[in-house]
Amino acid sequence: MIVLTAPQMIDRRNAGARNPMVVAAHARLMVLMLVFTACVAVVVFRLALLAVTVEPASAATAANALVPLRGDVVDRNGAPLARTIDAWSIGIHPKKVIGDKAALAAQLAAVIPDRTEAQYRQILESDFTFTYLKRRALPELVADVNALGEPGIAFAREPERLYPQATMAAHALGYLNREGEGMRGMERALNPQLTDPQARAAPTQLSIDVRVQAALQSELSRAMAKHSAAGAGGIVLDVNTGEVVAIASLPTFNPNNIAGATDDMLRNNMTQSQYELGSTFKPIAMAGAMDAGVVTSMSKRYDATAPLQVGRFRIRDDHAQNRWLNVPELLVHSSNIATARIADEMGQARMEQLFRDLEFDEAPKIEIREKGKPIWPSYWGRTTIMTTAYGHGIAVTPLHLAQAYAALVNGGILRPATMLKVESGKAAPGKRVFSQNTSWRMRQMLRMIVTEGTGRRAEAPGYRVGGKTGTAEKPGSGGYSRSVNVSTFAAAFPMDSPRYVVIAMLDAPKGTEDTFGFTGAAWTAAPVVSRVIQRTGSMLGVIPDRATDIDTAELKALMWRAPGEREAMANAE
Amino acid sequence: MALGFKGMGWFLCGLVVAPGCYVVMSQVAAERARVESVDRAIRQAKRDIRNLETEFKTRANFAQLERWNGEVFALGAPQPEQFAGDIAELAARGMGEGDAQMRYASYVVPTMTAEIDDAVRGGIQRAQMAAREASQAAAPVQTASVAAATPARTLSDATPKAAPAKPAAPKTVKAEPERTVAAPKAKPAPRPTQRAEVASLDRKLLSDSTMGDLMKAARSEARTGR
Repeated sequence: MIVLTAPQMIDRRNAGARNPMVVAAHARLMVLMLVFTACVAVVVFRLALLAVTVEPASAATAANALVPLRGDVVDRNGAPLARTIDAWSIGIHPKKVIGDKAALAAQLAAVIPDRTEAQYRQILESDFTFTYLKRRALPELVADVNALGEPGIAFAREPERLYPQATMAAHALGYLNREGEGMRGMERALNPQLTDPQARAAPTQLSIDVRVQAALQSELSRAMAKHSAAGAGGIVLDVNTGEVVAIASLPTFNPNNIAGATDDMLRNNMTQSQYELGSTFKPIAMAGAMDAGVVTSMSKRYDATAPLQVGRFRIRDDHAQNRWLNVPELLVHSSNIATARIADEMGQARMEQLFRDLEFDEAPKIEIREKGKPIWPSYWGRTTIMTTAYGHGIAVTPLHLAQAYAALVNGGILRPATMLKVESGKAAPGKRVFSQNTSWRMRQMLRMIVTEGTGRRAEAPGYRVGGKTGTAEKPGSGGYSRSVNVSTFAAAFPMDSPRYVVIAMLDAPKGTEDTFGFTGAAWTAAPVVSRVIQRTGSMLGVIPDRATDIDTAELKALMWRAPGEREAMANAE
Repeated sequence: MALGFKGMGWFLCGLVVAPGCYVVMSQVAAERARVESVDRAIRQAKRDIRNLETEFKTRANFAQLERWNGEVFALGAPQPEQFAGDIAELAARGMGEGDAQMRYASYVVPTMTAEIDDAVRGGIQRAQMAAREASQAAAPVQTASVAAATPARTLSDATPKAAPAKPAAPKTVKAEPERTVAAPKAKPAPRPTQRAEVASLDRKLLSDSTMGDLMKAARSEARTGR
């Protein structure tokens, strides 16, 4: 800065005294200098601050740009189940529209036929500053709308959740609402984790195997269509870790577009709905009786010669043998009478304790939040004890049954089912509910039910399947109906060293020509299990082998057969 | 005198060194900028990979694969006989049957049968021809979207011969170009060709899943971006 001052006349008479003008100028210059210094100091300070605090742009920030707004969900092998993508959205600022609004409304109605022309006109003449015309628009549609050339229409890319497998595992995954919050399934259960800025970079691995899920779901929907069933469901559970490898509930919904999904579709029948699961409870009761010391020998016989009258209640067998049955025969012929007699011997305390040990008195411990509490009998009379042993009078979710079967075959350890992948060796310790010995016996008997008894249609050659049918009468408005059933097949394979439990359930199936009108589990649910195991067994690491099987010779020796019985038994429940 | 030259020497020294330093600095800056642009490109590529992978997985989802398998490939689950426990078992199996030929798993390549292939190709050609005729036959009001709509319609209706008749009646075409596209979706054809069914399934899949044609979007974005 240059300061120009006029040269002053020097007063020779007052040379010693300072001119007041000079003094004022000096003072002003000094102030100006201080101001400049202060400015420079501020700039330097700020620079120093930035140099210390702000990190340079580096690989970390570059990687951040790739982190999705909501974490990915993948299956146990890394196949994507849910992803966040950028989708187009089309919006409009009605006040910024400059063209003819009536003409624009007609054009919009032609291009986006979601609304009528009148509705578009209403939007255009409203006071809104902004409203969406279409979210999740396809690029072609965006191009078409853009071609209208209206500056009031805005396009944006918005993060959208995409489920590449559409309806598959919809109940396990759930969906997002408009605000982007998880509404059901794992999207809801993992909502905090999936939206956490730190955690969302890495995909979340579920225990689901998408290949098994696909096979289960397709076989169930096939059976459901064939038998015109009201619903269907299935679970594949790892017996040693409690991982849910597949879980399907039909009818299902498409999480990509939940408009039009009814409550029936949204309900997860496997964790939310309680069913009386019928004869599938018999092996559980039998194992409990063996551990309780009620059944001391496999050859001990129980009277099943005539229906059992308990008070006003009469217990019958569907395919009565009318003779004394030993334990393997009881299970192979699925005798209600003999089971009831054993339960009667066990008594209330031990029966109740068995079910409490198996956690049939509480909602399952799985991460999914949509789960139902079992319907526990309010009064344990003598009939209740007897009927619960063959799966009536107590209603649990199919997931409960899967957990109990896993404990039944894996050596007696009950582990909570989980939807998250468990690293090898990190499975929950679980708790012992059956003895090792009992578990071994049950494996033999479950295998025999498939080779000799009612479960013959569940056999998958080479996979050593064992399991139990269960056909329960469905309670309706006017009591139990004989013709409307819940048909369940609970299986495990391979029986010589069990790895997986497979549950298939059909709700109110109808008989078809090739099932001779039967609606029991042997005809409807068992073939589903067989097909699922054949399709997925080798993927799950079980190599089919016809030469290997669990040794059931000692139990087979106990079986007595009437002439022509094999044929008749195939139709049994 | 010497003192004056000394000052000059310092000056010359500075004159040589300063530009040198500047050249080094600017080269470093240029190199850094290049690295950054490569980083940016990598990031973009990763995003593209993610998008394309998502699209691929969506198009090849299990429902779709199973449909293809049911219609064309008809592959079944492996039988227990197809598994061999060890090499000895495999050898025993191969040798035991005299002149039985050894077959490797990879030799069983699922292919379309010639008959179906011809039918599909013929259908597509006819559809394309129909589209061309349609765009020629139609009045000047005909827009590009109608031309695009016609093959889609012929494909899913599987009546390619009937298609040219449609644009001949310009009334319906002119009125609502989008409706013609929407029409086949509402009323699925009774029994179209193999490929046609696949195509219509694809479209349903995409409209449901909003994914749109990511590939196309990526391509057009790449074109406009550079």
